[in-house]
Amino acid sequence: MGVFLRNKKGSEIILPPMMFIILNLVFFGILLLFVIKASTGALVYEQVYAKQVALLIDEAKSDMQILVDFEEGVKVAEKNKKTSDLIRVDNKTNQVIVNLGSKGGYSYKYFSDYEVNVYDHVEENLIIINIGDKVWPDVIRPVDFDKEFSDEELEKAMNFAKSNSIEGRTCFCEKDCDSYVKWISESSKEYNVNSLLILAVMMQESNCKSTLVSSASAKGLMQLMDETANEMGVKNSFDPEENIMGGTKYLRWLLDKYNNDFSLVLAGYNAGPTNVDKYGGVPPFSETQNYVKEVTKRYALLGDVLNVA
Amino acid sequence: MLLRNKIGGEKLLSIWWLFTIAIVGTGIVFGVSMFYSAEIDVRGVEAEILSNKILDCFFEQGILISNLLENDFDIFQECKLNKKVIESAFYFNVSILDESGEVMKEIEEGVLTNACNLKNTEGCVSKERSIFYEEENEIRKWRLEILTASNQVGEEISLVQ
Repeated sequence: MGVFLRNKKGSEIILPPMMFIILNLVFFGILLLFVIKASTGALVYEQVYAKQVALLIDEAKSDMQILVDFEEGVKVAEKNKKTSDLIRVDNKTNQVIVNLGSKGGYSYKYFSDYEVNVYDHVEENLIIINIGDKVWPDVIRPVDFDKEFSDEELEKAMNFAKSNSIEGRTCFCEKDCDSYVKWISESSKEYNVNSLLILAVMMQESNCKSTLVSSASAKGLMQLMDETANEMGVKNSFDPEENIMGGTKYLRWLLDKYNNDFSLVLAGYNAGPTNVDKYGGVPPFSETQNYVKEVTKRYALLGDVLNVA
Repeated sequence: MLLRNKIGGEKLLSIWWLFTIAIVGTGIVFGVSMFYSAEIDVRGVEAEILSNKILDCFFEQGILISNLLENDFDIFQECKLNKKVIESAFYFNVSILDESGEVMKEIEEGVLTNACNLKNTEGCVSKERSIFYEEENEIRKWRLEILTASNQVGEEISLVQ
């Protein structure tokens, strides 16, 4: 073989040209890696997003909502194993602070004197900027399903739901609304399920109509199928109290099954746990995907109503 | 050019090769580091936004707001500008001049840097607007001059903070 030389003992050594090529490749490989690492570093993206958001706030007028594509930022943060608090504003110092996993992040100031709220919505790859005090009906923001609500808060939310369309649903309960609030509160305590979530699901399922029967024969306020109603111990699905209790018990069962993953819980409520297990997540049915989004959004909006009421 | 050893073979792995590659490597590392550690300069854009914002709040449907010439006119409140931020990292000067060029009103806030000694250099924006108004059946023409600048530098936050 021409490419190898032999030393005195007869073992093969690599010829200099071969070494030359290998060392060159290693050298340029290292350089390439360095350039890629430098150009995709967290600090570069932190600076870009902090300045972009600060400029948008400066240019905005009061009562505006701005959505910014945050896909690259989320990717960089994921690489650095950072999943929350990627961006925030300090209204006292007028600073936008972005932290995608570098040491402490990057901050940049805006000069507008508005009340500003900025959220990162990692699931939707968005930054949401709200300027001024206006409450946005279509706001998307991180949802805290672990928050607890008092009976008074639930009542306020129900009063709002009676007279407003929230994500296309209204509570048509009229005289019975107070009773529904009472039963939602009781079932929430009985099964340790968030009361506002029960209301959000109830609105999605039936617009709070206790006599509703769907084309698939789901019945009542929480739209229970006969089989599910039996399993949950519901004898009469048209009895509002029983129906709410049964629906809440079913939500509890799903919460335990899916380890409090609310997307899977809601998907399971709509498409059935068999489909969720089959697809290993939210099933690829547009109805179910919309269901999860709408209930989540409605829950967030009901929470907003309480914050401003 | 290749060096040859005693038996005439090409000596590729030489001290010169190492030297060349070290220079190339250092140059690329230095250049890339400099490029990506440099501030992305948005001061010009900021100055432009600031001047537009001030002009927007001075005019309502093309008409100069009536209280602008009053002594107690508070530009920060009227134009929704944060005083602390403007005073620490921005500059603006608004002058309203009459037909003879006499300054009728001047508002100046913030710190002017050397960069703005030459108008419209990076980080500075200079604009002019004509103001027409009627007084005693006569159309008068005033002039509004505005110079805005941004001196802001972003901040890397250390973990100690």
